[in-house]
Amino acid sequence: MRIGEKILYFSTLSSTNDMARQLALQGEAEGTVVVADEQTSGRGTKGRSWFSTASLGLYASIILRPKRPELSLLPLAMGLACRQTLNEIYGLNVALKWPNDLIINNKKVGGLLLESSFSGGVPVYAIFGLGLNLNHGPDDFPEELRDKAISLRQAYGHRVDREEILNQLWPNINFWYQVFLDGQDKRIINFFEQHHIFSKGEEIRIDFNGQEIIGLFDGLSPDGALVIVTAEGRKQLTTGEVSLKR
Amino acid sequence: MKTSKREDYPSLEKEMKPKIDLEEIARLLKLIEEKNLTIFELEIEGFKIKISKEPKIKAPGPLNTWVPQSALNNTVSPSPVMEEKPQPEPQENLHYITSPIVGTFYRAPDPTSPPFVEVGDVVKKGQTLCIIEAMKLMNEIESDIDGIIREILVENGKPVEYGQRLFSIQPIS
Repeated sequence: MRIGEKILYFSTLSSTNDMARQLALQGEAEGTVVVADEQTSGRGTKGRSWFSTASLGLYASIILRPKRPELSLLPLAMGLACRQTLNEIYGLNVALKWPNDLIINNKKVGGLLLESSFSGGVPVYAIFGLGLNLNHGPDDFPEELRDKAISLRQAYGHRVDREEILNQLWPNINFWYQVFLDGQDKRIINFFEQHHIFSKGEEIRIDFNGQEIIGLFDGLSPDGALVIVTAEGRKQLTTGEVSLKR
Repeated sequence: MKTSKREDYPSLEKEMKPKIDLEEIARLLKLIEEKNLTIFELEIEGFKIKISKEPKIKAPGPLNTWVPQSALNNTVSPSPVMEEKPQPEPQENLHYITSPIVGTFYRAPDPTSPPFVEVGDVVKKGQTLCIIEAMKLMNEIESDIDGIIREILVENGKPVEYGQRLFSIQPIS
């Protein structure tokens, strides 16, 4: 089944990823999508909450059952599909921030959360979750997020339509998922670097589990890790919060 | 609508304001699959389902015949076979759970939760043992056997390599 052929819409869920995971555990096929108007405990990575107000955002999760054992490039491929979709519809310049943020004007417009389950070294399922800020006005974000978050409405100047975005998203998601399954890793890496918020050679700061690493961004490794050149040499990171050093 | 089974999903009950439960959704999905419908829409309070499959006339696209490169040119295989290689000290048939990816090892779903498992815990096949994070992809690693956790071989928050041993499990037969 192609992604987006079957969509389940809910008015309220605790989190779309949790519902998609429940369905996956019950044997639901690859490609089924869960969409909610509101998430009561939407999640970011590591259990951080994702601010999900009723009907202002797009909250969707997709059940995937990838026939490829290593998934490290999957988040990057999905990010490319989302970026492309917003660019096609609204002409917006959406940048990617390694590994899972969608950025407009240096503010976060959306984020991806991928969760998978491995047994015996093989993925049983993966859930791709997407949260996008759609129609928030400046007052709709909590105060602590106002400098960091932006909605498509703020960036585009008009209200945006969730269904329009979803309809355009499915072909792009299917395309980039196939690129990933086909093992066109260089293509994913090249496009990601091309649309990345920092260019090679820029000085960046990474918060790596509380430890600060400063160095020059040197693109991505073949398996999607962030490469940074520090005083101690080249390092590859698979986790961490990245920002520009200013 | 049948609602008697809701207690089976306590965590979902409060969020599922819609007058439909997970079991009913699952049954509905199965029915739609059996009937092989290409277009289907149903809307009830708080829930909507939309199916719009392309008719199956086109030749099926390339099936995902992914040949794992890592499996071809990497001698470290996460399959149970590798666990048979001799150990420095003869352990009583311990089964090892290895990391399927390079990433960061987490023993709990989030910093405020207790670990998934402790040494001495009895675990079932399919039970989550840890999370390995890479590229913000949270990979839950399940046990592939029933057994007792004998060792936890990596510290919380530490990086792990592909094929690295994470847990030793004494199988229960």
